[in-house]
Amino acid sequence: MLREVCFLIGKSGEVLWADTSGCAASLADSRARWDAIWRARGELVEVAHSHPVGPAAFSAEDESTMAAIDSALGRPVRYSVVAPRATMVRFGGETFRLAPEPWWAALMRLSSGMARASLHKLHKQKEMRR
Amino acid sequence: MILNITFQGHSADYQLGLDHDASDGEIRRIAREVLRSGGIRGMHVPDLADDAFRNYVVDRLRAPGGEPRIYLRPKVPFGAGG
Repeated sequence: MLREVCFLIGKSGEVLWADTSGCAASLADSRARWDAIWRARGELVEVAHSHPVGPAAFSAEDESTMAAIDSALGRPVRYSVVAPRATMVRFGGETFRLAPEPWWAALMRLSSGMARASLHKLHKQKEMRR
Repeated sequence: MILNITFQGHSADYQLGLDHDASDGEIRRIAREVLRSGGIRGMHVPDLADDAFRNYVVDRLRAPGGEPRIYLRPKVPFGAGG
């Protein structure tokens, strides 16, 4: 099942919090997600979410949500969108493709129901970290 | 009733003199004026833009004691379909 997933990423690249939707094209507004962002604000460096059916780009909904979060936190946060073939990042007003991808991108693809290849990639990355 | 506002890294309560259910638009307007006037310590923003809370949502909850609380917070949906 394809579904959008959201990760909150900490200073060491760890996943601080995660949630998902039952939909491949949206993650509905969630007070729980905002509470998690606010609670983690001291260590939060990145808010990532998936677009399991693409595109590898930020949507209009993403743009207005990113502006709202930055306004509430009083600082710019790094954002990323993980699509089937690419991870795009927005930080400091710049949007760019991330390569190499962080370890959690494969985990996000897997939990979003994207290609089974994600599982193999995740295992490979774990092996390389050992 | 209490209005909680989160803005620019601060989150604070404001005692609302309302005895009726204010609309979301009224809550945003009240919050804007509270911040402009410095009604909450540490959250004085005299030149706050009219649309500062355009991407915010209003949550209406009850505290454990039963008293109503209103939270003005940023919206957090994402989505490829947006």
